Amino acid sequence: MAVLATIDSGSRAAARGWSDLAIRNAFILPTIGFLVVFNIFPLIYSLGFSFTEYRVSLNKPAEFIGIQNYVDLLADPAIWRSFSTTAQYVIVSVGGQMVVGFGLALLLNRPFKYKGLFTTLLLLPMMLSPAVVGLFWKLLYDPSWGPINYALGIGKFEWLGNRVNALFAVAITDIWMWSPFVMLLSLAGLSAIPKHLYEAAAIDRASWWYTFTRITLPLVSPLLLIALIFRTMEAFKAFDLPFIMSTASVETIAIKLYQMAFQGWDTGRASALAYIVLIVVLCITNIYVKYLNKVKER
Amino acid sequence: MAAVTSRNQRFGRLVAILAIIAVTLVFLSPIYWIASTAFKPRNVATSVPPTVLFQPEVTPFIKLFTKRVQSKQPPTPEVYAAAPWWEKAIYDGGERILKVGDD
Repeated sequence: MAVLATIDSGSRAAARGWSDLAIRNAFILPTIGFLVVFNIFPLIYSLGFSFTEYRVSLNKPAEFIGIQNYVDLLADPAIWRSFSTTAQYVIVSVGGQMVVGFGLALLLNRPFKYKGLFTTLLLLPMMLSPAVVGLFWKLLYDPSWGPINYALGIGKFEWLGNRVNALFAVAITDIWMWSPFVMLLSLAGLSAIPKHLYEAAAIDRASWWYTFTRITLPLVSPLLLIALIFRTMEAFKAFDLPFIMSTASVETIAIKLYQMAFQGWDTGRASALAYIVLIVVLCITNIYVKYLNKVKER
Repeated sequence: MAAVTSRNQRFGRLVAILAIIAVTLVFLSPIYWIASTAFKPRNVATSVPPTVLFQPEVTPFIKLFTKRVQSKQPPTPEVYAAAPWWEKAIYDGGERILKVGDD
């Protein structure tokens, strides 16, 4: 059937003077062009810059200095502090998102009236622009008149005042914004679990906990891991929320990178830092993907 | 799942649905605040305690699209009467419009 369809479409396209291959290429080429111009070219160009002493603001050619940028960066305690802040942020926010998102998916994974309505309403935070979310949560956290302080009745608590509080405050915002994403993926995983497994468990009078750990969790874990990969990658590169809410207190590596590249105009070093971040993210993602493959084999 | 449900299961379902409603309300409350603040005058937007129910107004939107300046004296009745409704709203706030448009 498929063979017939290709022959048929091929002959019809051929009648118009286009071969199958030409049509395929015509569809692929624009995408490849965009990718090369906007992704691959800057990637390689910045790799070149990362080995040079270069400032875009100065009218001076780039000067090759080998791996000096990388050596300097890895010896800089401020960079390590920034990496550690980022790691804490990733653990708190991604951990929270997984717990809240998966919990919500478990709650939603039952037939009831208005299920679609509630799912859509819960997805709303994800659809807002990060700039709007950041600005408004900053107002919500306001120490003197913010609704959050009023609702919790904790007086003039400085949410974004110091390092620790701000980290948790920004992470809470991130959890609010992105746990619907985890919820959506987990919901897809949960609804794909065959019902007869639960029926068999019910016949065996398995406890709720046993059913959960032996049926639900193993079958939903591939999708949970995919959500985890996406969220970890995003959280590691977190820029928008921390930048808008508290640049000084939550100095993630992306903010450091921005400051180095566009406030210090130290293009060479910033490129090197960008590559270090890329390598770290690649390593983390690779660990996840390895684990994901293992989980899928089971 | 099963066609026959025990009392326990029905109770669990009720708790789950109540939990969903509670979480949805918590998740939507910042969005309500964002949307409602758009229709609040400045003093209501930053009031303590936060105002939940208020008289919505579109003045913030008028301000978004106009350049204004504090006016020293209120407009003459003729000018006020001739002004369109959105300009009246600005006059009521003790300001006058310099220019319509953002730049």
